[in-house]
Amino acid sequence: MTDKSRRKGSLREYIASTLATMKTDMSRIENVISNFERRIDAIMNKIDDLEQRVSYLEKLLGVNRIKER
Amino acid sequence: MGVSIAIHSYRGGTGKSTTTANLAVVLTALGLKVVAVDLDITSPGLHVIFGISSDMMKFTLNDFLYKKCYLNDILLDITSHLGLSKGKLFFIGSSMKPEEIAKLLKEGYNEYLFKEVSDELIKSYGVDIVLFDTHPGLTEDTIISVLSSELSLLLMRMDKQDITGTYITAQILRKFRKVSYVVLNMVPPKLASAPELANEVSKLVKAPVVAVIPFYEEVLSHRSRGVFVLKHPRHPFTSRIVKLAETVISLTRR
Repeated sequence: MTDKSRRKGSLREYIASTLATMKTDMSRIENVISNFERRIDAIMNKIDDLEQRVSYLEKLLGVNRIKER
Repeated sequence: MGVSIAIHSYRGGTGKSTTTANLAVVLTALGLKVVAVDLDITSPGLHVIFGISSDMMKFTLNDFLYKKCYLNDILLDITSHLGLSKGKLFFIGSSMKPEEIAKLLKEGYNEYLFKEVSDELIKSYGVDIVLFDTHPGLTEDTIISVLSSELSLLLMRMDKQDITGTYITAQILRKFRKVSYVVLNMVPPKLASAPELANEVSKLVKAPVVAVIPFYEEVLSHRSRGVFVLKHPRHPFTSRIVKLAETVISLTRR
């Protein structure tokens, strides 16, 4: 315990008591994040695939694409 | 009526101070009266980006928290310092002196004072937007600064540590009934171009994504030497910040 105010009814007390009521299930969160990561990987793969197709078409048509930022 | 906004993140290095400084400048350039407050009281640095030296800051937020000065004494008008011709931009800085930081950490402060500061700025000074640049993480002091604002912008990178932390942070803010929005920052350019990215992140953290800002080498190379948007008005990063500023204005008018 520091010198910081932790009197009853204080904002610090409210924050501490609210956080204490959270029943965080970390394994569920890890599972949710892993699923999200998989969806992001799928998006990245889709972009890679599209870029490959565009490159192929460019070669085929002899077009030089101006790289956009 | 003005609004206070906390720029927050779970982890450090997400670009909170860079975003705060650039967003503050653009909001000012759009004609608003803005105050940028360095609430990262344990590791302040916003003044560096604004090019404010210690002798320009006669008093800091630390002095105000210990009632050594009035609010007016810590409110620094930096509009002309930054060469802005429209709007008004003020800055409130925190002390970089280790002994003053240690005092705050040891003794604490009136935790309602941040809210009082923003209320006073809005009511008495007619400020449109108060931006709080916070310390990252979920310590009590950090949560106090987020709870002292009406809205929060959660900055995150597309990094697994950030994603997990932002997910938890958003959960906590919902518990406190705080309205939060997400800004995806330093996103790999390829991923930033994916239209479904914002939707995926919104679904995950249950908060709307209001900006997707790609990683730009030039912003990194700028190394906090001034406000990027002022030095590079035509850079795509600047366009993204302008878009974010317009979104922020629309959010504050809801």
